[in-house]
Amino acid sequence: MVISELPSESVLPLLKDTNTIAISSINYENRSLKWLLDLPKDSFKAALKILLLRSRSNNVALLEQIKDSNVEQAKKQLNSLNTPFDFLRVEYPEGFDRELLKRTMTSLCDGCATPELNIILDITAIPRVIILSFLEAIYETQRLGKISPKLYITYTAASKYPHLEYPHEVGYLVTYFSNKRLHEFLKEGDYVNLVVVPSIYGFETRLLAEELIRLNVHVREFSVVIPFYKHNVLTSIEVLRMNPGVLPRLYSTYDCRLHFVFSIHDAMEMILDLSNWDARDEVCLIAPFNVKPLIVPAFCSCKHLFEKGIKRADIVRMSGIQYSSLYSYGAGEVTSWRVRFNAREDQSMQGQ
Amino acid sequence: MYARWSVGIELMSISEKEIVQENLLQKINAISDLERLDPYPNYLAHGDYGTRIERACRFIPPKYHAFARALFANVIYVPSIILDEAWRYHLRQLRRLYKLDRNNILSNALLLGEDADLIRRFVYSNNIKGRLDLDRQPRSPRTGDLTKDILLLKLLQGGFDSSQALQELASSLQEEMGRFVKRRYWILLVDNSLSGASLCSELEKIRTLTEVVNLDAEIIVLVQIITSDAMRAIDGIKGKHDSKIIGAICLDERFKINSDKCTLFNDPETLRGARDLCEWFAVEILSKDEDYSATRDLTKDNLRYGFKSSGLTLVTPNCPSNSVPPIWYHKPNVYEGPYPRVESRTSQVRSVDSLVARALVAV
Repeated sequence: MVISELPSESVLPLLKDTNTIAISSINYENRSLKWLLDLPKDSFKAALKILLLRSRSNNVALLEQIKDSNVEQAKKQLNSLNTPFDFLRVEYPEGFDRELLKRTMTSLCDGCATPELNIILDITAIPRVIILSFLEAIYETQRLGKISPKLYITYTAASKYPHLEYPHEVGYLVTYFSNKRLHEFLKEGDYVNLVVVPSIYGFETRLLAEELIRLNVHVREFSVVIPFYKHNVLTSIEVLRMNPGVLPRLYSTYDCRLHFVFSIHDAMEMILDLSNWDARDEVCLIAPFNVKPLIVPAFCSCKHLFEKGIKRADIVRMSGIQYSSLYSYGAGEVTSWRVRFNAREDQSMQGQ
Repeated sequence: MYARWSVGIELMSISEKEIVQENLLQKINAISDLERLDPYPNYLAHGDYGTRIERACRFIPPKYHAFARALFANVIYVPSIILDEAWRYHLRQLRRLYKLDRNNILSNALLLGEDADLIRRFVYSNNIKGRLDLDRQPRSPRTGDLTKDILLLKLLQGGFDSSQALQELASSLQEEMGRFVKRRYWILLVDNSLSGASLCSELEKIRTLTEVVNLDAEIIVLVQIITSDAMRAIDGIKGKHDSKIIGAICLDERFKINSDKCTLFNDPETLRGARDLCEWFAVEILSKDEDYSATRDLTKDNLRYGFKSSGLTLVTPNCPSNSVPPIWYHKPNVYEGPYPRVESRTSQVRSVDSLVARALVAV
């Protein structure tokens, strides 16, 4: 499994190809529009799908208004580019059916006339569980060998993350593949290997640490990957500020290894590298709480572990989390990656 | 109205506004967490961070206390565990971009640095074997020493002396240079490039060397911490050099307290206060220290924002002079900053390296 960073403009020519499916999502964040609004005036022939999530209706009416306005902007832009597009409406978070979404993705792939399919996934505003469902469908399509889609990921960073006056609704830790709460997935006495990437909100890593102690598992190998993203050092430092005491505690309790990473791509490579375990009877967990693109190497690592015969590998994520306000300000840099599920690193390097 | 600060040993009054507006406790705790994992190595920096902040404040008039605490809370603490990881990041980049890894780097690239310690840290951090094998790397990796060796070789080859001993030296140098200078990659290792002055000078030396002995070498510069000031300085000599700069940590204008774009502080009033504190410090404390008169003459200001007016709050294992002096200045009973700095240079005598480089071009 190889993930290579690409200049974001190198993905754009694929949009002229009828064998390309591009999926983006619009929400209330300014950055969710950036990739679409930056598309150059050109004749695009790709099938463009705009994912629209039906959100919870408790406290987000204002946010829904912003989302509607963003959708209108996106429509205007795509009409002005004469680009055909349609909406993919998904029930989320309530009523979310991951199997339905996977089938939708699979049928999109199967609908392609040739085996040469490109998929561009703009994950900026797509929730993690939906990204994982898409990745699973694409991985399975590739594994069955009918077509071999080339997968490209794009992501627009935020300019800034706000300090919120009121807390978000905090969710709980769940595993993706087994689809269980973490405390149901782990058993007392399990031998556990972990890679954790803490986030700017801090509570996930703290919850995870508490859970491990409470469940009385044996931690075999524990790596904490700490962002020190070179062009966003201040935001990275916020991760340390929002996780007070967590690192020294993990360090002293589990003798964990700390790894600092200097870009998102560096963090991706670090996750792939650190999670290359060979422990058949042990639990292998990857908890990529930091920025969304890190879910991609976590997925790749778990699939690689399954291929090696490790059965209890999984991704830990927060479920039931609800943002109480705008999650980010503005739109920053757009980054793109090519994901190869069935490549080895040396092959990828030769191709660069 | 007032809260007691829990971090310091001698608790001082501190306003609630001060704590909340600048997230003081959160910021200081984050630095303390990092210090617990990797303490600041200078023995003068004893006690936890809160204690050292309060110690420094004792030498500062009360009207500046809030600004001093905000300044110290915004220190960017980069200890060795992060810097060593930065070297590993650089090797990961070299592998991705040039297919250089821990097994082949010493035989395909010439590693250069301003001092030998940088090379040692780089190879130790990356578990690269064979640093001292003389068939793989030169005995001195300093750019200046390499320049001197090549100059000496040129002089000897020019027939300045034909004694047996000098001929043997020439032959040995030629053999050694032959092994290294024809390498495809020349990799310059740099810890900090904060004003850009040293890096520009190193790049000039390397340019001279490549012109004289190896026109085809690809120059790669690995920098642990680089600022936007340094990038501008390097851009200023662009055209004269063609090198790939790979920085691990990049500090832009947002990190300079003397920049309008500074975002370290939440409240503009605190930023203004921190600048006032630096001015007061330069006039009332630093100006009275003769040890810094040569540096003041060199930088043509009162050093209120540190060397070359860098205005940083960066702290590395020896706090750089480019950070503002209230952070690093330490003189017992005069002022005891939280991150005492050991001066690397106590005189301003200029190195002959640049003269050697010019001489090399001349021969």
